[in-house]
Amino acid sequence: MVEALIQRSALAEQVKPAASEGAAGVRVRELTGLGLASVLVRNGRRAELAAKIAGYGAALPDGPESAADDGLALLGTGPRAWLAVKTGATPLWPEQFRHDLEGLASVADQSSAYTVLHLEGPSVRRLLAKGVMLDLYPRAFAVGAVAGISIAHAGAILWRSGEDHFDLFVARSYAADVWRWLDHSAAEFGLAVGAEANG
Amino acid sequence: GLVLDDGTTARLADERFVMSTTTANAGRVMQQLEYCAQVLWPELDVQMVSVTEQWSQYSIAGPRSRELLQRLFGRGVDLGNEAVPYMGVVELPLCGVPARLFRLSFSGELAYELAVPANYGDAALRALMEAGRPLDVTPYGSEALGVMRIEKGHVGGNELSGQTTAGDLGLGRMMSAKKDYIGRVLAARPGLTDPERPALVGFQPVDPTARLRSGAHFLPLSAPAKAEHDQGYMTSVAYSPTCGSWIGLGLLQRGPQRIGERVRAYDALRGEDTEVEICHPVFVDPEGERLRG
Repeated sequence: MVEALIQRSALAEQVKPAASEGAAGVRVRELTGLGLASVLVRNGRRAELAAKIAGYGAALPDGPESAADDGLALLGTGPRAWLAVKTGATPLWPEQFRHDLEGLASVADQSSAYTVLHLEGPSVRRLLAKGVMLDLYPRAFAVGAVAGISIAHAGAILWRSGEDHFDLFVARSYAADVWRWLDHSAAEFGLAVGAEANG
Repeated sequence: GLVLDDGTTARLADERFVMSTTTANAGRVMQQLEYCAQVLWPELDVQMVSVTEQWSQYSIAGPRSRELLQRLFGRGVDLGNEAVPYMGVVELPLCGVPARLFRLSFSGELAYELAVPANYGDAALRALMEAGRPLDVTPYGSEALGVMRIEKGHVGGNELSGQTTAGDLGLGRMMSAKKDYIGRVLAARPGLTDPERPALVGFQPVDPTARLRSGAHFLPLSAPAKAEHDQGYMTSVAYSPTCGSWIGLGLLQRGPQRIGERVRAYDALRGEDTEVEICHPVFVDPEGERLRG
């Protein structure tokens, strides 16, 4: 019988850590080891779901924004839908999460559904503006803001996860195409590629 | 009343289903489901989300497919005919990773589909090939799959043209006579129940060395090649190593009632005119014995 299964990133072929030539206007690295799950609230159970999520130390945001503690973030992706993002999750965490939310929400494992790119650097907003048709100016896209977007013709979720950084969740089968876009589009700013790191 | 798409739906738990569609229609099927949930029955408590990106899924087919999977999962896991019956599904971990094993077959033999999260897809495929090495496992691709599905009379995109009904495709018995469903009323319109509508049958060339062409139109043997004598057309063809000849599926007026007759398969585009015999659309294992073993 098979002894172990090892994960492999959708970008394994293409992406190698590399310093930029000159100053890096954009720094990117892939985040791995995240547990992801879509959470869709069941009819009339929102208050109970919010209470359950509060029990984890997190919260259920009301709109296209995030609420996070240091281990679990909920990203508002639709009127009754969230993407749960758990750092340091085992592959069986989504199943456990689903059991915990039984009856309150419908939960589906999406841990392999996205390639997650962490983006930062002085030119990160100018880079994203080349591919994202949203106003990313800080007062328009505040810290914690979440948007379902199209980038390089691929479906993705953009999250301003901090003052100076963004997390881009790209549909996994499009990751290679979005990486090519990123690589070309960031060239003028100088791109530094970090090693894969746990989110 | 017209067929939109073809796929399988598996019930994982009382309130959890996973639905598969053809690749080309995945978006449209999702739109249709959302339309039903948001517009037709907004009072229903139901949630849906695409999981297309989440899973890598492999088909494992052939008389030794169960043996291969047993080697993969180890002796401790029961994959016998009762634990995983034909059209059954089980969720079970593989090396600490959630996996789903479906017993279903597009190629028409004992077969399974194994789904693992896509991050583990590469590893799982290598593990399958390794586990299958003593069993002479071989990867097979879409061309082989295409031949096998035609041998089994399984409809594909060529037959799901947006102009065909379940009845046309020999799937009329899947339409319930007891309960309501979307399309039931419009499917009963005279134009969609007309017995003269072209219906799915199989074709073999009378000359066993002759090639068949999809897109060829069917004419009675004695009739001139004019549109007024057109009785239907060939939808899918393949060379079948099992049958030793080209075989085809097509839509022919009253086809199922004309098994054994001969017609012309006329292809003006390629300048070919081939005599074909009408036959049952399932060329291999019509009783489905291999499926249920």
